[in-house]
Amino acid sequence: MSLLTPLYALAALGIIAPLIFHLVRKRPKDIQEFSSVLFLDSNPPKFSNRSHLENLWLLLLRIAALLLLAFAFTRPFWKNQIESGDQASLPAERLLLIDTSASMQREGVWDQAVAHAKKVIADSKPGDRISIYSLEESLAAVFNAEPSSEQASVSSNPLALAAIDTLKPTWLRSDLGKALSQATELIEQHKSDQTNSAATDGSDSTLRSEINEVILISDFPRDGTLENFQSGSWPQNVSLIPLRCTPIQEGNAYANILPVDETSANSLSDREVRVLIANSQLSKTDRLSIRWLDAEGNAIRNTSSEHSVPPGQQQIIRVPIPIPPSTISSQSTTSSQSISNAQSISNSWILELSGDSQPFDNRRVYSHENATDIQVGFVDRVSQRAEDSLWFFAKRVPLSRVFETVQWKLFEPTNALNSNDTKDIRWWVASHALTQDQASALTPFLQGGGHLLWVWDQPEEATSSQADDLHAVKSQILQSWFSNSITPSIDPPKSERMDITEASSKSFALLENIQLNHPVFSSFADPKFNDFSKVRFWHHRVIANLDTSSWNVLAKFDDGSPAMIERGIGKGKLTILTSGWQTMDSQLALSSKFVPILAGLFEQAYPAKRPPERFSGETFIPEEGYRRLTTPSGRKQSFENSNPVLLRETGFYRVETTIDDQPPSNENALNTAEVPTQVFSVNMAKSEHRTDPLEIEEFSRFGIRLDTTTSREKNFERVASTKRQSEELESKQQYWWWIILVVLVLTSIETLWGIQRVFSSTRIPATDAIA
Amino acid sequence: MSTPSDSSSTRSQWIDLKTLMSVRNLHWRAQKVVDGFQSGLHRSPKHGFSVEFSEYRPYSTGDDPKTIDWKLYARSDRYYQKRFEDETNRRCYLVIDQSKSMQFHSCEPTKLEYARTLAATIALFLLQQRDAVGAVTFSQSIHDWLPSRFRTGQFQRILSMLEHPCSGSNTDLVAPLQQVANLVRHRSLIVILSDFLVDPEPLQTPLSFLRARRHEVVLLRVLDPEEKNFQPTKPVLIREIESGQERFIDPLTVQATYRNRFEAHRNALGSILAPLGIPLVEFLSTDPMEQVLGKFLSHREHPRSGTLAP
Repeated sequence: MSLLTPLYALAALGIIAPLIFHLVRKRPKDIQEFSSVLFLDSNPPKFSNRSHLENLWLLLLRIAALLLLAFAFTRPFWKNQIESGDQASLPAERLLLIDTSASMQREGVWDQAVAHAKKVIADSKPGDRISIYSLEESLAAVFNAEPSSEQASVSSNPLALAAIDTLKPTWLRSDLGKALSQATELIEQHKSDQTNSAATDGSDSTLRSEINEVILISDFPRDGTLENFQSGSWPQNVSLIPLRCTPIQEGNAYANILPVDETSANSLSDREVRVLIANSQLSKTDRLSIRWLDAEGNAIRNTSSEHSVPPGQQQIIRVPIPIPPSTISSQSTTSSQSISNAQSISNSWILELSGDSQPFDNRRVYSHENATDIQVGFVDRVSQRAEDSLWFFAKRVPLSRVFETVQWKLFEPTNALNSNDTKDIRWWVASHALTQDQASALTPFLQGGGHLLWVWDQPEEATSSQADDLHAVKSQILQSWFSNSITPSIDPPKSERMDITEASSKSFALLENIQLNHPVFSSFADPKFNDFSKVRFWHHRVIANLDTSSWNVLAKFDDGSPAMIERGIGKGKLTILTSGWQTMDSQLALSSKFVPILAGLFEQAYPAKRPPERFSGETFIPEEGYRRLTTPSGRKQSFENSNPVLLRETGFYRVETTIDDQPPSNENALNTAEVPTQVFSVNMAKSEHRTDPLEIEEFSRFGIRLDTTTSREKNFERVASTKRQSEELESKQQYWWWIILVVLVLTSIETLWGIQRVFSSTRIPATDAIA
Repeated sequence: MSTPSDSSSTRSQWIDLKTLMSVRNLHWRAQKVVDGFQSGLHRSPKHGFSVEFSEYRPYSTGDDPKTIDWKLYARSDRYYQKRFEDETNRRCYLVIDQSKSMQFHSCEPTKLEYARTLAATIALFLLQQRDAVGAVTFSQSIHDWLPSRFRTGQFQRILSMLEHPCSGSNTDLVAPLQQVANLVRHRSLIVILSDFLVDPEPLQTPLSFLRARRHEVVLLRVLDPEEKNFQPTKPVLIREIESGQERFIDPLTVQATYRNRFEAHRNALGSILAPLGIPLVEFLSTDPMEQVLGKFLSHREHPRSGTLAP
């Protein structure tokens, strides 16, 4: 016997009512007022057993009617065998994703995450399988149930719990969207694995379990880049269960050192940075202070300043950088290399914010880079009319960058290029005036990786003896540079020699066949900018017998002759422009194309340095020559085969080298015995600072099926399905009708009995009722 | 203890209490009773200033020289004091209990109505004797206070005070009697009208205090016939009119118990009053008024007669 609605059995408590009524009836209705009860004792009369017994039978009848009525409402039925093996009995496959990003380091968050994870494992039934992944920028497997062991879950629970204990929040950023995309792939892969194994076993694939729940434990920051899931499609029948971890105190503030860009560099002094102080909307304080610490974390005096940033707002302030103590002492130091090393460390600072509720992200490391001078060498003969020389235009091109000021250095053809003058020069530009001696002096520079732009800006007059000389010089120079690679031992035959003549165009030539994908011309890749029809070349040189297999033609004139060609020499590169940019030769210097082309060539020769700040989660590609990386925690890591290294920690990383190794792109550094230690700072990703919570409903916007019900609620659902079956059984049997009929009969008897008693009591004197 | 006199019973034949109490005017009621009972003035045993000569007494040092009869001194060459009978100027306070228990009645009138009429009657009677009369009403504490005076309109004031609607709740005799003892400075006759249905033990202190201040105290106890002879016929829930306490009683057992306890209470009250020399005049609210007045006055003539039960 089972009950469909057992709670109605509580209605049986209704028998209290007749019991009370039967007791109440004993009390006399007469109440007499009296002046004083000083002389009276409470002395209720005793009732005889006869009247008691009579009422008892009536009472029993009423109680029986009420009990039967309550029983009828519980809808009793005989339970037959209910078919088992429904969906609920299938084991669950769960994917447990635990966010281990930096924002999980907030107070109380990680404890909650661990508690959530352990509860999920504890709630799993025998047969359930859980795969645990840590979630940072991508998913990483922490614990995986073996697919072969079907009953693995119960025995592997301790392993899963141990795996969770090994997890710790990192300094990496979280990417919820990417992680969910990966989870989708995992689900699909699991599904295909199941299908394949079913096919090989010959078993029924429908009985195989599929991943049906993805449990995501995170603090769900608003900036969790959920948008990255836009391309993904969430599998059907899989629900996402978000379990949110909330910190003990909401709200967060952070200070961020803004990178120096071209526009801000002009307004900032050399030892000044712009700091963005942002306060979260949920923050309760608006008084925040910042101060500088040195690389070891010791506070620097007189650097503290307090700022009022209301919640939800941000403020940008200028903060002076502390003066490194080594600046004074370095003046007396003799070794330039030790100065460089000391400066790289002493220019490392920590900006500390205080006053907010979350201290985990209050420190930002900063490596200050002093502005350096870059020298560009220029070999040219300055004529009487300055406008006729290349130098006149070239030195006006703004090649300076944020931390690098470009200084042009002019060398007359008569000047010998000795190593002292040229050791700091990073890029060379030469006109037709380049002499053989100068060219040979530049050879090691080119071989070591240097770049040279050689502009043939003077006409090649076939009749002129001077021109012949020039022609001969050019050929000799080229031969001296490429003799090893082209013709190692003997002069090339005349047919193979590059023949340089003056173009015989009557009016002007235009550029065509420009390699817009080449770095020099890449800034013109957009069709809006690649109109070169207004750059007219009045004169240019023609190179016959150009070996196009070794020379790369970047641009041609409309007569088919190459305008700009390049070729590697050793590690370096030579670029030749067969026409000048001065007004006598062309309109190039006057056009808007001139500066980008020259800047492109300069960039190629001396690429812009990467900003000194990096973020955790990024990869570090070691430059050639560096051998070992020391992390902020002191762990030393050797580079192998120049593989990228993932920066997992925040703080100052140190890249070290050995004596034999050489840094790139600086030929002069070859002579030095030691290479400086490179220090760079790595900070937490900015998105991890923004900890304001994301609305869980946002997941639905991306088509993710959310399931916010707990396992307890799922149990309720199972109970509900059993209940539905019970209802069917009960509706077939319907015993309650019969019980109601009995109740009606009993009620009728009770009514008749009551009426009979009322009539009989009217005939009995009042005094008989008592006693 | 005196028995009801024959004369009063004969006079009461033509004064029907029911008819009397049906008259709303308290003044008329008192007047009627006093007219029906005019037993004559009493003389003051004390000496004072009046026209009635009393005696001569030899002068002794310390006496007031103005009382010396100089004519007699001229004749006899001795100092004599000439003394006159003093006229009555007794002060009397009527202290009336207005608690809820006084409103109980098994038959007309209520104890309170009866007590009011009796008080008015005594007041009129005393005022006619040129005594100063005051009145006090109380329940848990004193409600109204009228100092004893003999002047025109004093009776009207007493009547208007007595006719104030009853606002009392519980009976507490101790505190009001303490207050009366504090307020009444001159030696006075204090007549307390109540049912005294309280624990008698605490009454000893305030009554002793009154006596210590040389007041003459008379207790007039008004009882309902039902209170004296409690005879329920059926089990009934008895609710006290004052506190609302309920007692469920069995008629078979309650009567004897009630009677015994009532007697014990009366005896306890008597045993407290006897050493203090305070008489207790007990009567029912159905007793003829002049009979009660007679008892009261006969006690006044014989102050040491003790408790006067009806």
